[in-house]
Amino acid sequence: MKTTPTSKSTRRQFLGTSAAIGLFTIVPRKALGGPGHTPPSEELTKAVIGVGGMGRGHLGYPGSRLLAVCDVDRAHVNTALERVDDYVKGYSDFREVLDRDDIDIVHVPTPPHWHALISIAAAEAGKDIWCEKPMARTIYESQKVVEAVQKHDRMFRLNTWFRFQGGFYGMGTEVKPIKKCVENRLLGWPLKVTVGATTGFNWKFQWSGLTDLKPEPIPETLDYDMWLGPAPWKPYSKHRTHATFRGYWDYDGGGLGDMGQHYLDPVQYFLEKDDTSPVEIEVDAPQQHDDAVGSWRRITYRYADGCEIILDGAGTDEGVAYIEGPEGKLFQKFESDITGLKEKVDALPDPAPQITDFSESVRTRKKFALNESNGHRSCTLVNLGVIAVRLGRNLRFDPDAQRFIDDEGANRLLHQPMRGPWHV
Amino acid sequence: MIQKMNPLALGLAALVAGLCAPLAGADVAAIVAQFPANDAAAANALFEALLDEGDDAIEGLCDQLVPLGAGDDNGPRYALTGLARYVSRPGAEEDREDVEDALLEALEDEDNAEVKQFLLRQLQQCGGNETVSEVGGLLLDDATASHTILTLDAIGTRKAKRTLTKALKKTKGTTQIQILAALSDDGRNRTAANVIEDRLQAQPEADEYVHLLSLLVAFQGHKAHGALIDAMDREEARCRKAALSHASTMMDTSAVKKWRKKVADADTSDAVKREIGALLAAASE
Repeated sequence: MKTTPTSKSTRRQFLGTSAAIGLFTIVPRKALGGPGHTPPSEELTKAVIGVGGMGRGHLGYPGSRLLAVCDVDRAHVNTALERVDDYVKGYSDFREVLDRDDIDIVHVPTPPHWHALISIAAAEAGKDIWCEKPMARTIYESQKVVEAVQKHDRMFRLNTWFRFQGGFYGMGTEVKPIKKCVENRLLGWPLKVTVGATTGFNWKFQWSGLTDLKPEPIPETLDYDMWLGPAPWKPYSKHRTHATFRGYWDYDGGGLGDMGQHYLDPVQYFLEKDDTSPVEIEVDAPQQHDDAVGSWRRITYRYADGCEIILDGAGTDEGVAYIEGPEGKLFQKFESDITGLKEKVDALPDPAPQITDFSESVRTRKKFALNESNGHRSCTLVNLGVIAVRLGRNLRFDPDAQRFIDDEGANRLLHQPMRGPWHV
Repeated sequence: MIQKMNPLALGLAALVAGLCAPLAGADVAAIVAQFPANDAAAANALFEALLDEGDDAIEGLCDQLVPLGAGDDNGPRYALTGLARYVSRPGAEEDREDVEDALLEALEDEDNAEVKQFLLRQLQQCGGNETVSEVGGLLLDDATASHTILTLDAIGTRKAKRTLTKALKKTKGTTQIQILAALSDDGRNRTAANVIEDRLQAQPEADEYVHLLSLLVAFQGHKAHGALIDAMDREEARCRKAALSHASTMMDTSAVKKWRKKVADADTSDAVKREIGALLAAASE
């Protein structure tokens, strides 16, 4: 017997069924579609949960019509509502948004400690999910997102895009030619990839919290208990929330959490590591605070086949190549020590096509380019780095079991137990 | 390979170890003043120096903790957090026990809730069954219950699970739900399931009801169909949707029979019959 979730019956399918069984009424022209009109039954709809910072960008993302915004800070909801159509409704509790049958896609640009919980609840409610990076604050949480999305047959996209479009920060090239170069082994194998200021990646990579927070009065507009959600209760300080939350371990992993998946996901893609994880993680960082994220100098990820990714947080690797292999090097702007590399790459066939429009993914039920599975793996890179930095020690990881080897102290950081009543 | 230090780090470690050697018998304050360390080698040398000073030194550090905003105790906080992480490394069981004992002593003597929470967070990283034995009472104190559950959840031993299960009958409200959530990863737990069923009988508000349904499914699996069917009597669509969503992932012949019975029930409204009809239709595909 097929265990298809009831929640898979979408609003559009319902409308189709209703028509088939003879429900009819007089409807306006625009509702029927035709030239110049998209009928509502064809139009995707969305809600954005978390509209304080990143979420404001999600309001205008194309491909679907915004119906609802939600935030635990009333001031954020009011600001968002000023920017959108009158029919958009504001909420303070995401569960009320998920109750609506007329919403197809839920955007989750909240702080990361909420990503897994809301994504899982959205999957259970039959919504497709467009989640901000990093996918989750722990490896366990992103595993649970994968389970929920697949159990409920939902579509999931993570909100970073460099594996399929864009100039990839300071690289001065898209990823596609790099992918062609790598998959045709023009640089040889295994490869060493260095991500840091000297290879074009330095935007917000270091992000620290404050170690001298003092309790402050909670703003009247903020539901602080709901903002904390699954995170341990700590006294309110403005710096702990909103635009600066990334500086605290309970909610994110600093600049590594903020930018890590942007930088690492394309590397995982062109290194062909979408279904695995590193086996060794080495770290060089100052000692870390209990609560506030600090800086770090270097994180090295080593895969079983010898490929390495180096995060040069100190930006000291002058003259180093972005990618180095036994056959040659690749630098910013696709410069190389291999003569005629660009021309060779141009002549090669394109990599396998990817679905890069989430609306298409939702309509066709085919996985988006960066989905829950490969997104979990690139988020795991981020969270492996976070754990190594927090512990201040090198780690060995089993990519299949997704646990650290012979290090129960590290395994305790695979998951951060959640404050009640929240759980995944 | 991975455990090898580069020559620079080795040199630095030797230098720091050399610098720290005279500190071994010196005032703990001199060690604490060097936190936060700039790298792992320097930090580890400081941790070793602290461990050499013995339990009293670590308890002394705990005595220097003050509630957030009441003064600068970053030195002791860095030292204790670092120690808790350091002794959680492989092969450091004796050191781990020493630090655990010192943290538990401090926890017992501490009155301030925020400082207690800090100490519990460190035990989350390095605590073991000794912690489980000592912190059970804190589950009954609103100020520490949540952090204590987080600690026991992180420790995750059978003894920790038993302590949490025992506390179910003595706790209520959010604390009880957090305990249920902490136990839910382990699957079958009759005590937990009974507690949930009692709470569901009391018909709590929708959000709590939905949480409880989800937890009951975790504890009972297919056996939860009865409670899911009962949830269809709730007025709130959220409760019914949650029940249908859970049911949809575990439909088998026996479950289909139960849900059909609900459809046949004269007291079931037409709207609910339609909702269940969609579930049954999807299950038959």
